[in-house]
Amino acid sequence: MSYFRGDTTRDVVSIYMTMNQESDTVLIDNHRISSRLPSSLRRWVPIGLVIVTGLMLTALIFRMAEESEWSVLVAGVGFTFLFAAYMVLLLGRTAQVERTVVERTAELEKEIAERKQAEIKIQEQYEDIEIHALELEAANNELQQTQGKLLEANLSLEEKVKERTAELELANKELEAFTYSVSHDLRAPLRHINGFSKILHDEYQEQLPDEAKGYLNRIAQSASNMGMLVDGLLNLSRIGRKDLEIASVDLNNIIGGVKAELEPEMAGRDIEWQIGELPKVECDSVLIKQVAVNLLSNAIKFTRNSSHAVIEVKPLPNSTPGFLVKDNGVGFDMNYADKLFGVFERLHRKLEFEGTGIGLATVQRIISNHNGRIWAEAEIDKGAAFYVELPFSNVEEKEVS
Amino acid sequence: MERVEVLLVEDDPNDADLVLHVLRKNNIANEVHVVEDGKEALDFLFCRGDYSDRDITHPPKLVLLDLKLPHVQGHDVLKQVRENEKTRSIPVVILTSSGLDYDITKGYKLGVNSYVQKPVDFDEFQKAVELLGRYWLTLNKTSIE
Repeated sequence: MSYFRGDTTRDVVSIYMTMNQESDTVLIDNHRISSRLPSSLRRWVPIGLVIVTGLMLTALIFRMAEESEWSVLVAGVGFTFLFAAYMVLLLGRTAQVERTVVERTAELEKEIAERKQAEIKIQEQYEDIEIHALELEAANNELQQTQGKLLEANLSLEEKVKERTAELELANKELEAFTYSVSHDLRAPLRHINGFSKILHDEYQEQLPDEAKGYLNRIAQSASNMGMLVDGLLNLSRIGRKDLEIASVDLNNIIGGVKAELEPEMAGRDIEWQIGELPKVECDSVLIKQVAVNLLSNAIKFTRNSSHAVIEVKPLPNSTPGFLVKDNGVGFDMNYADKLFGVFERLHRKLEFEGTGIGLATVQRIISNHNGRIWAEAEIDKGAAFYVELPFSNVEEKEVS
Repeated sequence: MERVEVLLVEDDPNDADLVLHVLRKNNIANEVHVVEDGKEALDFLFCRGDYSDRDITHPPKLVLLDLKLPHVQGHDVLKQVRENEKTRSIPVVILTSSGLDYDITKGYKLGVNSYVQKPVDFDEFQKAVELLGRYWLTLNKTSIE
């Protein structure tokens, strides 16, 4: 018989019950053996035997007395007495055994009753367990059904996601093509406006009144500004499309190179550079260079009114990969910090500080494409600090579609 | 017939005028020929059609090539010039509004000598055209002089 067919609880109960039944059988058998003879017979047989033996001995004694053999007579009487005493003891012992048997039987009966009770309880529990098992099975079935439905829903969801992704990718491509073509085709007329107004200004200087020259300058300047806007937007959209080319990059080289490139913007300025020992980081060097150009040229621009500008480029604390750029320029109001990285957001008036409002948006996009983080701290007229944090390594490659 | 120094392939007359203005004003090139589409550019370079009386052994010193052109696109003009033994060594510079990576990469793959994006600001535009003209017309050496 195999006890473990799968439903362990049920088997354990049945094993326990079988064992109980077996031990009960043993007890009952014992009881049967001890009470095989009727109790009256058990009592009277020894007494009968004593009487018969006594009569026989008496007969023998009288027979011996007739023959006047007194010694034998005394022996016979003694023997009879001893035999009678033995029989009396035997009877007493039998009665004790009988009492024990009765007591034991009562105990056993009590025990059997208790066990029966326990058995009933176990049976009840077993039934309960069976009910629970059924309930569990029902719940399990329901769960399986739900799981099936969920799986189905998941599959259809995956399908939907795929469809939607394909649609979005197409829309994105169209949008990119549109952005590109707009940016590209916008540049041509701007170049013409700027070009011809400058030619007019330069070649016909003598014929033009100063006011006309001023207007021509404004036309040229506006066209030029719009050109920068278009270029900025084009760059921003290009960064969104560009796949990262991650390599180990020494930030010291990047910052050094960018600082040298920005020399023309520093002409006639008193700028103290404090450049610390910067770490090597895992990034796209071309894009990080763009970040550095933006942050350093901002620092140069916004310290323009400081008599002695101090620009710091330092590593981040706790050996975090990245760097910070801090200046003692005009700073900004931290209440507008959330607008800092938005496209076309400007925290300073155009007349004070020129700019397109695309630079920091581009910087943020580059950093977020690297799975990094950029934030700023500033105080009006005390300066600003920009923190660029890059991931430690294993930058997730952007998925290429 | 005076030898053409620069072939300007440009469909936008405004851009063509701006380039011509810079080249002439700075005395970089006197003989600049302007064609407005890719097909005409190929006719000129291969001396056929309206240009059949030209001498193919006297190519221009520089071709300034726009990319967005009617009939035959700039890249196709470049491709045909590079595929032909007689025109293969003509210096071609792409001068275009496009800064698209695709256009740049394709240009170099087809064997362009240089790729310059037209700046919006005229001062920079002027600088770029002047630099290009001086480099290719005076500094650079070609096999046929």
